[in-house]
This record gives sequence, structure tokens and C-alpha cells, in this order.
Amino acid sequence: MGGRRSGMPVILLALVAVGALAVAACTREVEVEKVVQQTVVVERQVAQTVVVVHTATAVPATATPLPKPKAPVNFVVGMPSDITSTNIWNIYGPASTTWNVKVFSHNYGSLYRESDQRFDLVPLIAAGGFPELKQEGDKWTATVPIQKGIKWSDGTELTAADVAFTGTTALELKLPGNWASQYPAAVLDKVEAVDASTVKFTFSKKPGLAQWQYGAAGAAIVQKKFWEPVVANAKKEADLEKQRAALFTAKNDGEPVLGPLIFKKWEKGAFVETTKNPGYAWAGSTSKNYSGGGVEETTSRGTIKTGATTGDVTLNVKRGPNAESVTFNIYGTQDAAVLALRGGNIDYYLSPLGLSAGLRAQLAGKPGIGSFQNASNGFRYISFNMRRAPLDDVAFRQAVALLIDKNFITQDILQRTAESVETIVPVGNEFWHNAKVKTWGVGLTREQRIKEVVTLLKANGYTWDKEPAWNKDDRKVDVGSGLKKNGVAVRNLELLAPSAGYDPLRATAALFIEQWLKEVGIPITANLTGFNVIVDRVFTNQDFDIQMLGWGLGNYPEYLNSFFAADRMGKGDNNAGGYNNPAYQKLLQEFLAETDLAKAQVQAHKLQDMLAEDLPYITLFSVPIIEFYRPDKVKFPYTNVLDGVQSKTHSITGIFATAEFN
Amino acid sequence: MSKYLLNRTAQSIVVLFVFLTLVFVLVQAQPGDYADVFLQNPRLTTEDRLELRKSFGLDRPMYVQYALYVRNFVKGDLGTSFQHQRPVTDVIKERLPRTVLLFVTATVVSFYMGFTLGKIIAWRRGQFVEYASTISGVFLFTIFLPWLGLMALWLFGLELGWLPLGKFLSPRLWSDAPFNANYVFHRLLWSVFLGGGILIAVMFILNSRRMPGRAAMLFGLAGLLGLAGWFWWSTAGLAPYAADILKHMVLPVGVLTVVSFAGTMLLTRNSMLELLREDFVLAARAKGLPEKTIRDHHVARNALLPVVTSLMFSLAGAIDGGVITESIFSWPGLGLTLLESAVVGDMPLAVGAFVFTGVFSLAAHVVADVLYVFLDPRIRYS
Repeated sequence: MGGRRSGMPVILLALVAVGALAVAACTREVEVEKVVQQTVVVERQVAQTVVVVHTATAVPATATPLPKPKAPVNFVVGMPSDITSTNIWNIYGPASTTWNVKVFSHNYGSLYRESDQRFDLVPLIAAGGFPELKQEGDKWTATVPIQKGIKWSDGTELTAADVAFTGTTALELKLPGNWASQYPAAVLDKVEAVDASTVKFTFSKKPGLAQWQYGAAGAAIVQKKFWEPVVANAKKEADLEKQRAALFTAKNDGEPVLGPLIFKKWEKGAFVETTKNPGYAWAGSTSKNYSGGGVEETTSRGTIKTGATTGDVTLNVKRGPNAESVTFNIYGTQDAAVLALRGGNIDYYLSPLGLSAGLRAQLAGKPGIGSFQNASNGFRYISFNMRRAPLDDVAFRQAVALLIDKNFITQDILQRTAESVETIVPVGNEFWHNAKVKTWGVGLTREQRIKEVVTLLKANGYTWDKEPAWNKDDRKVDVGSGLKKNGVAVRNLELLAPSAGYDPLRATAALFIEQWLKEVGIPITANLTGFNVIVDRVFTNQDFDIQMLGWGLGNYPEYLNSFFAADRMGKGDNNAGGYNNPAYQKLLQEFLAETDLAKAQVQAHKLQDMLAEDLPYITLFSVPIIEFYRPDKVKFPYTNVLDGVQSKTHSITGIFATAEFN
Repeated sequence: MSKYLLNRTAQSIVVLFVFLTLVFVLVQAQPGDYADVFLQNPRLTTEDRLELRKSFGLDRPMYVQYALYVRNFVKGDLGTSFQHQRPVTDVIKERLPRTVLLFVTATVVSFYMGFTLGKIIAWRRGQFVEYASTISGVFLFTIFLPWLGLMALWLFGLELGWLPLGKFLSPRLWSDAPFNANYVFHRLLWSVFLGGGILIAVMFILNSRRMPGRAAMLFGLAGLLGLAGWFWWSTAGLAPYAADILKHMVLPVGVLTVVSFAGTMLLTRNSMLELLREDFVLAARAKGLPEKTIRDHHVARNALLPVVTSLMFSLAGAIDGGVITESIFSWPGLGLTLLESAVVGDMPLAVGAFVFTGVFSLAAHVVADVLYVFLDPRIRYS
């Protein structure tokens, strides 16, 4: 027995040994991620008119002084995931996660920005509206004067050299990701500084809206002084891949910024802290939207008017920033974040996908909790693999569209948690949305749908062994069977949709669609499976019949191209269904080359008309974005905006510059 | 013994490579890859996407990727995380201390509680305390962990406001800290293991020499160590930060203990009940030893073997954390890292983290084998 007396200490020693192993494995301390400053460019663009620019002369420096907060305010924003990088080259490149972009993109300016609430394109750093594109030999150029007096957070002035440096770096290093779409190498030859306050873009061919107004003109701008040595160092690497890797992993401690906040600290997995930029170049400025469609921007550098600044002022935004600091708190689950919101640990929860119904119910009516609901800029849809019969037959696709009762899905099945969508450009995107597209089956009864489908299919060569029909006595469909096209049996089709665990709305809708199609004798099986499985089969391998996925969209409908262009049909690209209508492609090219916004709008509407007829996609529904915040702490200048307030975190003049605090 | 250890180490290396291969293949077998993330940006052209795939090395055949991975692994290089764009080892080093501190603490507390209760209920078999402990233990064991975690957060964090609502630190306190959280985590771990190590070594020496007044000396030493620790932490200016982390640990450790102590308790109870029929227990009683001495010094120590085996494996498992616990309590350790990397197809990080935990599990098995010899001198490896 005596020998066993030492048992417990030995065990404990073993525990210590295991623990020491673990400690030894993680001994090297991670360096403190602490940075002093940062900045940069502005967000993505969207659409609208840039008409008149009334240049600034007199400078009503503090035209409308903001009421200062009584005590230093720390605005605490909850978010469900950590950032992965603080380096903007990386963030707009391979580390383009939602959270990186939300936390850092408002640090960076661009020549033009989207206006508040309406998404008009208005000057930000540019001194006026869009310059006319000029042809110089076989090239096209855009020469943009920029405002004087805009300073980085380190006090140095922003010049055209900064713009040229950013564009040149993106082009020379062939930076991937968002850089590639912001500085499109396919048409953009070079960006150069004519003088300190004039920048010139040279294009190999006349750029369209996507490439110029919604591309390079809205691209992020970084400070040359800070990044030039870093880029020079990266270029010493042997090949482009290594050069990019060196740039993406470069430290950016102390990077000067233009935005309202300066990066202070990143405690990995816990929070990101930013502090107020005392040199914010838009501090105290205002932006007014007019009912006439114009926007008036007043800064310490003057007033710039864009469009018709007539009629009533529909929005008057005053910029701070009004918080001394903004902390982004990371929560592992929505449940934990909701408790934190209720407990006052966070003031606003960033959740681009919205909260689940159960959590919304938990927050509804709770004291101190406010919410707002906005249309989302996106949709759930089904699309067809048009390389395969009978999905290549437009009549078949129209029949499917007729059978899907979106109203029933959204109102009855999904209990009004979703809204039906009739066209590719969601209704909330007013400028580009075509409200007059052809719709399928809206308002029809089940009986009418069956009759129309039978008529349509018969007229296009389809027959049944047993034709479906509406049974008036039983008030249900006498199910059809043996569907044939020109005498050949229609094979069993597969509808790929996400499982209920991933998205119960789509899973439920898919089961109903399967049932409705089966009723008219279309042999189909809904396969509810993992999201990654669907993505792999649809986009990587193009091995599918019908699939149900969703898109979150930008405001400029470039997706009319990327989803449906004939040159985007390759494996791994977005036109996975292989849609290729020559008439559409022709009009699409005109749309892409168009530089006039009004003409582009008309073309976009026509493209939507064609899509509504051809139905490569059947748009189903969208789910409104419902956001929660603490009105006792924070007040947003506006809450009615497409995709919700969370969509305005990206902008240098967005909510972090404009939110007010009690 | 040394030959046995050599054999076991060689076996472990073979198992590790089989494990590595399996993990690699399984992660690769997932549909899609990390480059699918960029499908969300429809403005990227096919060429842009191909360029991105190439930059991640995803354009190479799987066997080439595997060969490269194994080559780098042998050199101690676990690759670069796609998401974080930094070495996998850096990410693991960053997450591991948080997981180790939380889960090892929870495991040890749970083990101690389970073992103590197991001893008591085995000794009081058939009495109310046994039924109450067993039923409540089993009931708690079956509680759905996410639910209990959320309830604990709601009650102690929101309603009563006694404890933080998840996370491992308070941003306000840490905002101006001149160091990061891992700096404090490392020192906490070193303090625990150093202090514990000293205590255990002294206990070992005292026990082996049968010195009188051992308990008092140990308590005195523990007090001294505590005082020294408090002095060091205070003068180093780290005390408030350490206290903040410890405060954030209370809820997750409590919840993990509540749901898991029953396993150890029942194992100890059953093991002890079997031993109670042994002759040496009868002999001890015949010698007139007090019941507490028989229970704690004779029966409980002999009952340790299966319990310690279970503990060692639990500790090895603790290295990979608990995805659920880490999610609920917003405790970003290795478990969450594993999950996130696997979900987004960050292959180097997923494989690296899995392999890392595999190494610990294998080491724990070897340690458990060696421990048997000390726990039960009848066991000999030859």
C-alpha cells in the first residue's frame, strides 16, 4: 500500500506535464496589434445622376455646428465574426470577408461616393461631377480635378499622387478580388497624376459605367507616402505571386486614414477598437438630399451641388464623428449578441443576414430596444441548367414559373417573413428596378395555373399519358403523369436546395415547388443538401438541373452581366445555367458600354424585360433586413435605406460619421 | 520500459501520419473550396477567380497538395491560413492558451468534483445522498449544453448581472492595455503550472518521507505561493487583467462542470464499489483504521486507474476545445478555429489544427500508459 501513496502526486505531476506541453506549444507571444492610424477608400458604387457641380468658394466652415456629446461616447457595435486582417490590400483582395470590409472600408475614400439613403453618385474627393470622357488617339481618358485641403489623419494633404499610386499598384501587381473590379485592367491602362490636384485615367477603350463610374471612380485610395516603401519592398520579390503575398501580409501599423475613425487595437477574437479621427476632413460637413433629385454637399472646402437641388430637403445629414471611439465586439452566436444588446453591452448589432425569428421575438417590445426593417438588396431564386433538356425550353421554364405561387409561399407558408420578388433587380433598388416586367401567375388560382400550364406545354409539343386537370369536385389537381416532349419522356429532374438547417425558408419553398411540379406530371425530386454541395455542383461543375440559391447584390446592376453574359458561362463563373440569348447579349454589350446613366437605366429595364420572358432565373422572394439597436444610446440620421443601416457602415461618410448619441 | 516507450513513440508517429492523411483527405473531400468565397462577388471574372485559386495553390492536383503538405509538415511548417494570411502555427499559438486555460480548468474542476462525490456516494451506497447525487448528476449530464449555457448567461449575466455576458475579456478594460490578452493568458498558465508543480513536488517529497504535519506544511506552502503570486501579479500591473479573464471563465467553467462531473462521479463510484469487496479493505477495517482513511487512502487510490485514464483522454480532448461552449460563451479558442476553418475550406488551418490536437491525443495516450505503472505497481511493460 505504501507504494500507492504517491499515486496522487504522480497524477498531478502528469497533469502539470501535459499542461506544460500545451503552454510550451503556445509560448511565443503574439505581438500586440496596435496601430495608430489608418484610412482609406470608399465603398462600392451605385447609380445615379451626376449633373451639375457648383464649385465651392466660400467656406462656411462650421455652418451647422454639431451638438457635442456631453461625455465621451463609446459606440459599441456587436458582430458575429472576427476580422482576419487590417491590411486594406488584403481586405479588398483575398481576405475580402464581410467583417473586414465592414470594419475597415469606411477608413478609405474614393473620388466619388454613393449619396446617403438614395445611392446617387456624388463627388467625395473629386472637385466636381464626372468629367466627360475624351478620346485621345485610340485611348479614352477621364481627367478628374480633386478637392484641395483634404488631409490624411497624419496631417499630410491628399493629392492626385495618392490616387495614381493606388491605381498603379493595383494594375502593376494585378491585384485580385475587389481591386480587379475597382481598377479593371481589361480597360484601364494607367492612372497618373497630372499635377497635385488633377488625376488622369487612361482607358484602352471607352469604359462603361461598371468600369468607370462604378469602377475606378469609386475605388479605394491609400496614402502613397505610407505605402510606397512597402510596395517597393514587395516588388523586390521574385514573381508577382510573391510580391502580392508580401503586400497582403505587410504590417500597416500607423497607417494614415481619411475616415472618421482611426484603428487603435485588435484583440483577436474579442474586439476591434477605433478612435475618432480628429483630422477627419468631412467633420462638421452636411449633405442634403433634395426632392428634385439633387444632392448638396457642404464641407469646410465649400459647397458642391450634384443634380437638381430643388424642392424640399428630404434628408439633411450632419457629420461628426460624434463618438470618441467605436468598439466592434465579437459574439460567437446571435443568442449571445441578443443578450448583450438587451443587457446594454452593445448599442447596435451588425447582422447582414438579419436575426432569426425566435431572436426577433425575444427582442420585440423589450425596453430600450429599437428596430427598423428595410428591403434587402437581394433575392432567393431558382435557376435552370439550360444546357439540358427540357430546361433549355423557354416554354418549360415559363410553365414552372406559372406553377410557383409566390404569394402563397410568402404569405401562407413563410408567414409574411418574406416578400415575393418579380425581377432580377429588387424593388428597393428604385433607379434600376423595372416594375413593369412580365410576371407569371400573379393573382391566379390553382385551377387557373393548371389550365394555363397545360395549354402552354401542349402548345409547345408536350403530351401526357395522363393529362393533369383541375378536379372541381375535390378542389384539387388530378395529377398528371408520363410527360413527354415530342414523344420523348421527360427524365426525372432534380431540384437542389439548401437544407432546413441552413435556410428553412428555401427548404420549405423547395418542397412546395416540387409538389406543384409533380402535380402536372413533371418528374422532379427536391434534394435538400448542404450549401457547399450546391455551390460546388452548380458553379464549379455545372452538374445540376434546377437549383435554388440566393444573391446579395450591389446597387449598380452589373449582375445583369455577370449572371447572364455568354462569356460568363465557363465553369467556376456565375452564368452557371448557360443562358445565351443573342438579343440579350447584344443589348447587354450596349448597356456595359453605356456611359450615360439615363440611357443605361432604359437598357437595364429592357434587359429585365428579356429576363422575365426567358426566365433563366425565377426570382422567388427576399427577406427584409430587420436590425436592432438601443435608441436610448444611439440615433441614426436615417433608418429607411435599402439593405438596412448595416449597408452604410462601408462609407467614409456613413453611420460611423453620422450617428448621434445620447 | 524504455524499449516500450520507444515502441509506443514509433507507433504514435505511424498513427499520426495515418491520421494526417485521413484528415487531409476528409477536408479535401468537402464539396467546394476556399475560392468559392469569391463567388459572392459576381463582379470578379473567371480569370480573377482562377488567379485567386492559383494564389491559394488550389489549382494543383490533390496529390501534389498532399505531398507538399507532408513535406512542409515534416519541416514543422503547417502552412499559411487562407483566411488569416499568416502561418497556421501562429493562429494555433494565438488560440491555444485560451482553450487550454478554460478547458483544462473545467476538466480538472469537474474531475475533482466528480471524484470527491464519487467517493462519498460509494461509501454511502443505498442512502439518500447516493440516490440524490446519482439522479441529479445523471440529470445534469443529459442537459443540452447550449441550452444550459444560454440559460446561465441569461440568469447570471443578464438578469442578475453578476457575471459577464460571454467573451473572455472586457473591451473597456483592455482598450488601453499595453499588451494583448495572450500575454496574460501565458502568464496565467505558467503561474498555475509552476505553482501547481511546486506544490505537487513538495507533496511528493513529503509523502515519500512520511513527514509528520504534511497537511499543515502543504497548506502553508500553498498560502506562501498564493501570496507570492498575488505580489507578482500586482506589481507587474497584470492583476486586474488576470482577474478579468478569470471572471469571464466562471460561467463556462461552471456550466461545463455541471454537465460533466457526473461521468467521473459514477465511474469513481462503480470502481470503488468493486474494490470494497477486496480483502485489503477488510484487512484495513480489521486493523481498526478510520473509515475516512480506508475510503481516501485505500479504496479511492485503487479506484483511480480508470478515472485517471478517463481524465487523461479528457484533457487531450480539451485541447481542441468545445465548439459549442466556445460559441455560446464567445470564447474564441481552438474549437471555434477548427469549426470555422473547416466550414470555409481553409484547408491548411483545418488540417493543421486537427493534426495538432491529434499529436496531443497521442501524447496523452502514451502518458496514460506510463502513468499506469505508477498507479499500479503490479503493471509492468516488457
